[in-house]
Amino acid sequence: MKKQAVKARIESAIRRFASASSSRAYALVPQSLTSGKLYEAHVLSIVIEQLSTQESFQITLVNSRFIPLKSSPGPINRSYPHFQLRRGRNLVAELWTDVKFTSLSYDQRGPSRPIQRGDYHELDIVVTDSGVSGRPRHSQIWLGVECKNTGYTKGLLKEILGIRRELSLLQSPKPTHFTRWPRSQVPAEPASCLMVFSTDVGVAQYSSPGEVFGIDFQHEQI
Amino acid sequence: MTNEDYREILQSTRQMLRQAGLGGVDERIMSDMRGSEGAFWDLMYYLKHLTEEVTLGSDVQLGNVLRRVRRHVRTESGEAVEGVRVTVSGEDRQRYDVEHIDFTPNPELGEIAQEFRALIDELNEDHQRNSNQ
Repeated sequence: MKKQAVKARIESAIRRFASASSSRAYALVPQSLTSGKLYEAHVLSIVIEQLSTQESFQITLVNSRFIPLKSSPGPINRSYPHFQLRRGRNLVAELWTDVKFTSLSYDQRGPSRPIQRGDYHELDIVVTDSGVSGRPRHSQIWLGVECKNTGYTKGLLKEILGIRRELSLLQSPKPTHFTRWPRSQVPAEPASCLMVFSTDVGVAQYSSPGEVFGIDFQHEQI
Repeated sequence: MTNEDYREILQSTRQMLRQAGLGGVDERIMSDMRGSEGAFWDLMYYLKHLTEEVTLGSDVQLGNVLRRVRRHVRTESGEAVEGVRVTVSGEDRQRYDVEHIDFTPNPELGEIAQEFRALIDELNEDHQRNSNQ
Protein backbone atom coordinates (compact mmCIF):
# COMPACT_ATOMS: atom_id res chain seq x y z
CA MET A 1 0.00 0.00 0.00
CA LYS A 2 1.13 3.50 -0.71
CA LYS A 3 1.10 6.16 1.98
CA GLN A 4 -0.39 8.82 -0.30
CA ALA A 5 -3.22 6.51 -1.40
CA VAL A 6 -4.12 5.74 2.24
CA LYS A 7 -4.14 9.43 3.12
CA ALA A 8 -6.33 10.22 0.12
CA ARG A 9 -8.89 7.57 1.11
CA ILE A 10 -9.00 8.83 4.69
CA GLU A 11 -9.38 12.41 3.51
CA SER A 12 -12.27 11.49 1.22
CA ALA A 13 -14.06 9.58 4.02
CA ILE A 14 -13.58 12.41 6.53
CA ARG A 15 -14.98 14.93 4.04
CA ARG A 16 -18.11 12.82 3.60
CA PHE A 17 -18.37 12.32 7.37
CA ALA A 18 -18.21 16.06 8.00
CA SER A 19 -20.90 16.85 5.47
CA ALA A 20 -23.30 14.05 6.39
CA SER A 21 -26.00 15.32 8.70
CA SER A 22 -28.38 13.25 10.77
CA SER A 23 -31.47 12.01 9.02
CA ARG A 24 -34.64 13.06 10.79
CA ALA A 25 -38.07 12.34 9.39
CA TYR A 26 -40.07 14.94 11.25
CA ALA A 27 -40.33 17.97 9.01
CA LEU A 28 -44.00 18.57 9.93
CA VAL A 29 -43.63 18.02 13.65
CA PRO A 30 -43.17 21.11 15.86
CA GLN A 31 -39.69 21.69 17.19
CA SER A 32 -41.01 21.94 20.77
CA LEU A 33 -42.00 18.27 20.60
CA THR A 34 -38.78 17.05 18.99
CA SER A 35 -36.45 19.08 21.22
CA GLY A 36 -38.39 18.02 24.33
CA LYS A 37 -38.16 14.37 23.34
CA LEU A 38 -34.47 14.65 22.50
CA TYR A 39 -33.91 16.09 25.97
CA GLU A 40 -35.84 13.16 27.43
CA ALA A 41 -33.59 10.78 25.45
CA HIS A 42 -30.55 12.64 26.76
CA VAL A 43 -31.72 12.28 30.38
CA LEU A 44 -32.70 8.65 29.79
CA SER A 45 -29.16 7.90 28.58
CA ILE A 46 -27.77 9.44 31.79
CA VAL A 47 -30.19 7.46 33.98
CA ILE A 48 -29.20 4.26 32.16
CA GLU A 49 -25.51 5.05 32.54
CA GLN A 50 -25.91 5.61 36.29
CA LEU A 51 -28.02 2.47 36.80
CA SER A 52 -25.34 0.47 34.99
CA THR A 53 -22.20 2.00 36.53
CA GLN A 54 -23.42 2.90 40.05
CA GLU A 55 -25.97 0.14 40.61
CA SER A 56 -24.43 -2.61 38.42
CA PHE A 57 -27.70 -3.44 36.68
CA GLN A 58 -27.42 -5.43 33.45
CA ILE A 59 -29.75 -3.63 31.10
CA THR A 60 -31.49 -5.09 28.05
CA LEU A 61 -33.69 -3.25 25.58
CA VAL A 62 -36.55 -5.56 24.59
CA ASN A 63 -39.07 -5.51 21.71
CA SER A 64 -37.05 -3.00 19.69
CA ARG A 65 -33.63 -1.72 18.70
CA PHE A 66 -34.79 1.88 19.15
CA ILE A 67 -34.77 3.80 22.43
CA PRO A 68 -38.53 4.09 23.05
CA LEU A 69 -40.34 7.35 23.81
CA LYS A 70 -43.96 8.40 23.34
CA SER A 71 -45.49 11.71 22.28
CA SER A 72 -48.16 11.27 24.98
CA PRO A 73 -48.03 9.29 28.21
CA GLY A 74 -50.17 6.24 28.84
CA PRO A 75 -50.38 2.95 30.72
CA ILE A 76 -47.75 0.23 30.40
CA ASN A 77 -48.37 -1.97 27.38
CA ARG A 78 -46.17 -5.03 27.73
CA SER A 79 -45.77 -5.42 23.99
CA TYR A 80 -44.09 -1.99 23.84
CA PRO A 81 -40.31 -1.65 23.93
CA HIS A 82 -38.80 -1.17 27.38
CA PHE A 83 -35.64 -1.87 29.33
CA GLN A 84 -35.19 -4.89 31.62
CA LEU A 85 -32.97 -4.40 34.66
CA ARG A 86 -31.22 -7.49 35.99
CA ARG A 87 -29.08 -8.16 39.01
CA GLY A 88 -27.10 -11.23 38.03
CA ARG A 89 -29.59 -13.49 36.25
CA ASN A 90 -32.62 -12.15 38.07
CA LEU A 91 -34.97 -9.74 36.38
CA VAL A 92 -35.73 -7.33 39.23
CA ALA A 93 -37.14 -4.20 37.62
CA GLU A 94 -38.10 -2.53 34.35
CA LEU A 95 -37.60 0.92 32.95
CA TRP A 96 -40.45 2.47 30.98
CA THR A 97 -40.93 5.89 29.44
CA ASP A 98 -43.93 8.25 29.42
CA VAL A 99 -46.07 6.32 31.87
CA LYS A 100 -49.10 7.24 33.96
CA PHE A 101 -49.21 5.77 37.46
CA THR A 102 -52.18 5.57 39.83
CA SER A 103 -51.87 7.79 42.86
CA LEU A 104 -51.55 7.15 46.56
CA SER A 105 -54.86 8.96 47.13
CA TYR A 106 -56.59 6.62 44.66
CA ASP A 107 -55.15 3.66 46.53
CA GLN A 108 -56.29 5.07 49.89
CA ARG A 109 -59.83 5.74 48.65
CA GLY A 110 -60.06 2.13 47.57
CA PRO A 111 -59.14 1.10 44.04
CA SER A 112 -62.49 -0.58 43.46
CA ARG A 113 -63.95 2.89 42.79
CA PRO A 114 -64.10 4.08 39.17
CA ILE A 115 -60.87 5.78 38.20
CA GLN A 116 -61.04 9.49 37.42
CA ARG A 117 -58.64 11.84 35.66
CA GLY A 118 -57.25 13.10 38.94
CA ASP A 119 -56.31 9.58 40.02
CA TYR A 120 -53.31 9.14 37.75
CA HIS A 121 -50.26 11.22 36.90
CA GLU A 122 -47.50 11.19 34.34
CA LEU A 123 -43.80 10.55 34.75
CA ASP A 124 -41.33 10.80 31.86
CA ILE A 125 -39.13 7.92 33.01
CA VAL A 126 -40.02 5.27 35.57
CA VAL A 127 -38.30 2.25 37.06
CA THR A 128 -40.96 -0.15 38.33
CA ASP A 129 -41.35 -3.64 39.71
CA SER A 130 -40.98 -6.16 36.89
CA GLY A 131 -44.07 -7.54 35.18
CA VAL A 132 -46.35 -4.55 35.77
CA SER A 133 -48.99 -3.80 33.14
CA GLY A 134 -51.51 -1.00 32.79
CA ARG A 135 -51.00 1.97 35.11
CA PRO A 136 -48.49 1.01 37.79
CA ARG A 137 -49.54 1.65 41.37
CA HIS A 138 -47.61 4.33 43.26
CA SER A 139 -46.12 1.58 45.43
CA GLN A 140 -44.67 -0.24 42.36
CA ILE A 141 -42.45 2.69 41.42
CA TRP A 142 -38.76 2.58 42.36
CA LEU A 143 -37.74 5.77 40.58
CA GLY A 144 -39.59 8.52 38.77
CA VAL A 145 -37.89 11.13 36.60
CA GLU A 146 -39.24 14.34 35.12
CA CYS A 147 -37.36 16.04 32.25
CA LYS A 148 -37.83 19.78 31.73
CA ASN A 149 -36.25 21.28 28.64
CA THR A 150 -37.54 24.70 29.60
CA GLY A 151 -37.13 27.49 32.12
CA TYR A 152 -37.92 26.13 35.59
CA THR A 153 -40.85 27.88 37.29
CA LYS A 154 -42.77 27.87 40.56
CA GLY A 155 -45.59 26.06 38.75
CA LEU A 156 -43.25 23.18 37.87
CA LEU A 157 -42.10 23.01 41.50
CA LYS A 158 -45.71 22.76 42.66
CA GLU A 159 -46.30 20.03 40.08
CA ILE A 160 -43.40 17.90 41.30
CA LEU A 161 -44.39 18.43 44.94
CA GLY A 162 -47.83 17.11 43.96
CA ILE A 163 -46.24 14.07 42.31
CA ARG A 164 -44.19 13.44 45.46
CA ARG A 165 -47.35 13.63 47.54
CA GLU A 166 -49.14 11.14 45.31
CA LEU A 167 -46.21 8.70 45.35
CA SER A 168 -45.49 8.53 49.09
CA LEU A 169 -46.08 9.86 52.57
CA LEU A 170 -43.39 11.87 54.34
CA GLN A 171 -41.60 9.57 56.80
CA SER A 172 -38.26 9.22 58.52
CA PRO A 173 -35.66 8.00 55.97
CA LYS A 174 -36.36 4.55 54.55
CA PRO A 175 -34.06 2.39 52.39
CA THR A 176 -34.78 2.62 48.67
CA HIS A 177 -34.35 -0.16 46.09
CA PHE A 178 -30.93 1.32 45.24
CA THR A 179 -27.58 1.08 46.98
CA ARG A 180 -26.11 4.42 45.87
CA TRP A 181 -27.78 6.09 42.90
CA PRO A 182 -29.94 8.09 42.92
CA ARG A 183 -29.97 7.61 46.69
CA SER A 184 -29.94 4.80 49.22
CA GLN A 185 -32.51 6.38 51.56
CA VAL A 186 -35.46 8.67 51.08
CA PRO A 187 -37.83 10.32 53.62
CA ALA A 188 -40.83 8.62 52.07
CA GLU A 189 -43.05 5.56 52.41
CA PRO A 190 -43.21 3.79 49.92
CA ALA A 191 -39.56 4.68 49.45
CA SER A 192 -39.55 5.78 45.80
CA CYS A 193 -36.87 8.09 44.43
CA LEU A 194 -37.97 11.16 42.50
CA MET A 195 -35.75 13.30 40.28
CA VAL A 196 -36.10 16.42 38.17
CA PHE A 197 -33.65 17.15 35.35
CA SER A 198 -33.80 20.64 33.91
CA THR A 199 -31.87 22.61 31.31
CA ASP A 200 -32.42 25.71 33.48
CA VAL A 201 -29.49 26.49 35.76
CA GLY A 202 -32.04 28.27 37.97
CA VAL A 203 -33.55 24.92 38.99
CA ALA A 204 -31.22 25.01 41.99
CA GLN A 205 -33.27 27.93 43.33
CA TYR A 206 -36.24 25.57 43.71
CA SER A 207 -34.47 22.60 45.28
CA SER A 208 -34.89 23.34 49.01
CA PRO A 209 -38.34 21.67 49.45
CA GLY A 210 -36.81 18.60 47.80
CA GLU A 211 -34.34 18.29 50.65
CA VAL A 212 -37.27 17.69 53.01
CA PHE A 213 -39.52 15.63 50.75
CA GLY A 214 -36.87 13.61 48.94
CA ILE A 215 -36.81 15.12 45.46
CA ASP A 216 -33.46 15.47 43.69
CA PHE A 217 -33.12 18.42 41.33
CA GLN A 218 -30.36 18.30 38.75
CA HIS A 219 -29.31 20.92 36.24
CA GLU A 220 -28.40 19.03 33.08
CA GLN A 221 -27.57 20.90 29.92
CA ILE A 222 -28.00 19.04 26.66
CA MET B 1 5.07 1.10 4.79
CA THR B 2 7.40 2.13 7.60
CA ASN B 3 6.66 3.24 11.16
CA GLU B 4 7.39 6.76 9.99
CA ASP B 5 4.66 6.39 7.32
CA TYR B 6 2.11 5.16 9.90
CA ARG B 7 2.98 8.08 12.17
CA GLU B 8 2.56 10.53 9.30
CA ILE B 9 -0.82 9.04 8.33
CA LEU B 10 -2.04 9.33 11.92
CA GLN B 11 -0.89 12.93 12.20
CA SER B 12 -2.48 13.92 8.89
CA THR B 13 -5.75 12.13 9.83
CA ARG B 14 -5.93 14.09 13.08
CA GLN B 15 -5.22 17.31 11.21
CA MET B 16 -7.91 16.55 8.60
CA LEU B 17 -10.49 15.95 11.33
CA ARG B 18 -9.66 19.21 13.06
CA GLN B 19 -9.75 21.12 9.76
CA ALA B 20 -13.16 19.57 9.02
CA GLY B 21 -14.50 20.99 12.29
CA LEU B 22 -14.42 17.60 14.00
CA GLY B 23 -11.76 18.41 16.58
CA GLY B 24 -14.06 17.11 19.33
CA VAL B 25 -13.96 13.64 17.77
CA ASP B 26 -10.16 13.73 17.69
CA GLU B 27 -10.02 14.82 21.33
CA ARG B 28 -12.36 12.03 22.42
CA ILE B 29 -10.31 9.35 20.66
CA MET B 30 -7.00 10.69 21.96
CA SER B 31 -8.27 11.03 25.53
CA ASP B 32 -9.20 7.32 25.54
CA MET B 33 -5.78 6.31 24.20
CA ARG B 34 -3.56 4.87 26.93
CA GLY B 35 0.10 5.30 25.90
CA SER B 36 1.65 4.21 22.62
CA GLU B 37 1.67 0.60 21.41
CA GLY B 38 3.85 1.44 18.40
CA ALA B 39 3.13 3.52 15.29
CA PHE B 40 1.07 0.89 13.42
CA TRP B 41 -1.07 -0.07 16.41
CA ASP B 42 -1.65 3.58 17.33
CA LEU B 43 -2.97 4.19 13.82
CA MET B 44 -5.18 1.08 14.03
CA TYR B 45 -6.56 2.19 17.40
CA TYR B 46 -7.30 5.64 16.05
CA LEU B 47 -9.01 4.41 12.87
CA LYS B 48 -11.12 1.85 14.76
CA HIS B 49 -12.36 4.47 17.19
CA LEU B 50 -12.91 6.92 14.36
CA THR B 51 -15.10 4.26 12.70
CA GLU B 52 -17.19 3.98 15.88
CA GLU B 53 -17.56 7.75 15.97
CA VAL B 54 -18.72 7.76 12.35
CA THR B 55 -21.50 5.29 13.14
CA LEU B 56 -22.75 7.62 15.89
CA GLY B 57 -23.25 10.45 13.39
CA SER B 58 -22.32 14.09 13.26
CA ASP B 59 -25.26 15.17 15.41
CA VAL B 60 -23.48 15.69 18.72
CA GLN B 61 -26.66 15.49 20.82
CA LEU B 62 -27.88 12.23 19.29
CA GLY B 63 -24.35 10.85 19.15
CA ASN B 64 -23.89 11.34 22.90
CA VAL B 65 -27.20 9.59 23.65
CA LEU B 66 -26.34 6.62 21.43
CA ARG B 67 -22.77 6.38 22.74
CA ARG B 68 -24.00 6.15 26.35
CA VAL B 69 -26.85 3.75 25.63
CA ARG B 70 -24.78 1.44 23.39
CA ARG B 71 -22.13 1.21 26.10
CA HIS B 72 -24.58 0.11 28.81
CA VAL B 73 -27.51 -1.57 27.04
CA ARG B 74 -27.67 -4.72 25.00
CA THR B 75 -30.51 -5.65 22.68
CA GLU B 76 -32.18 -9.04 22.29
CA SER B 77 -30.53 -9.57 18.89
CA GLY B 78 -27.13 -8.46 20.16
CA GLU B 79 -27.00 -5.68 17.56
CA ALA B 80 -26.39 -2.06 18.51
CA VAL B 81 -29.22 0.27 19.50
CA GLU B 82 -30.14 2.03 16.26
CA GLY B 83 -31.61 5.33 17.36
CA VAL B 84 -34.46 6.98 19.22
CA ARG B 85 -38.11 6.35 18.25
CA VAL B 86 -40.96 8.55 19.47
CA THR B 87 -44.28 6.73 19.06
CA VAL B 88 -46.89 9.31 18.11
CA SER B 89 -50.24 9.04 19.88
CA GLY B 90 -53.60 8.82 18.07
CA GLU B 91 -54.44 12.51 18.07
CA ASP B 92 -50.92 13.65 17.19
CA ARG B 93 -50.76 10.93 14.54
CA GLN B 94 -53.63 12.52 12.65
CA ARG B 95 -52.26 16.01 13.15
CA TYR B 96 -48.72 15.32 11.91
CA ASP B 97 -49.48 12.36 9.65
CA VAL B 98 -46.68 10.21 11.11
CA GLU B 99 -46.82 7.07 13.27
CA HIS B 100 -43.42 7.59 14.80
CA ILE B 101 -40.50 9.97 14.68
CA ASP B 102 -37.08 8.39 14.37
CA PHE B 103 -33.84 10.04 15.34
CA THR B 104 -31.09 8.04 13.68
CA PRO B 105 -27.67 8.73 12.26
CA ASN B 106 -27.68 9.26 8.51
CA PRO B 107 -27.46 5.90 6.65
CA GLU B 108 -24.62 7.35 4.57
CA LEU B 109 -22.55 7.21 7.72
CA GLY B 110 -22.80 3.42 7.63
CA GLU B 111 -21.17 3.44 4.18
CA ILE B 112 -18.40 5.72 5.39
CA ALA B 113 -17.80 3.46 8.40
CA GLN B 114 -17.60 0.51 6.01
CA GLU B 115 -14.93 2.35 4.01
CA PHE B 116 -12.87 2.81 7.17
CA ARG B 117 -13.31 -0.87 8.07
CA ALA B 118 -12.12 -1.94 4.61
CA LEU B 119 -9.10 0.35 4.91
CA ILE B 120 -8.28 -1.07 8.36
CA ASP B 121 -8.42 -4.62 6.95
CA GLU B 122 -6.13 -3.69 4.06
CA LEU B 123 -3.66 -1.95 6.35
CA ASN B 124 -3.65 -5.01 8.62
CA GLU B 125 -2.97 -7.37 5.71
CA ASP B 126 -0.24 -5.11 4.39
CA HIS B 127 1.38 -4.91 7.81
CA GLN B 128 1.19 -8.70 8.19
CA ARG B 129 2.83 -9.22 4.79
CA ASN B 130 5.65 -6.80 5.63
CA SER B 131 6.21 -8.49 9.00
CA ASN B 132 6.53 -11.90 7.34
CA GLN B 133 9.13 -10.72 4.82
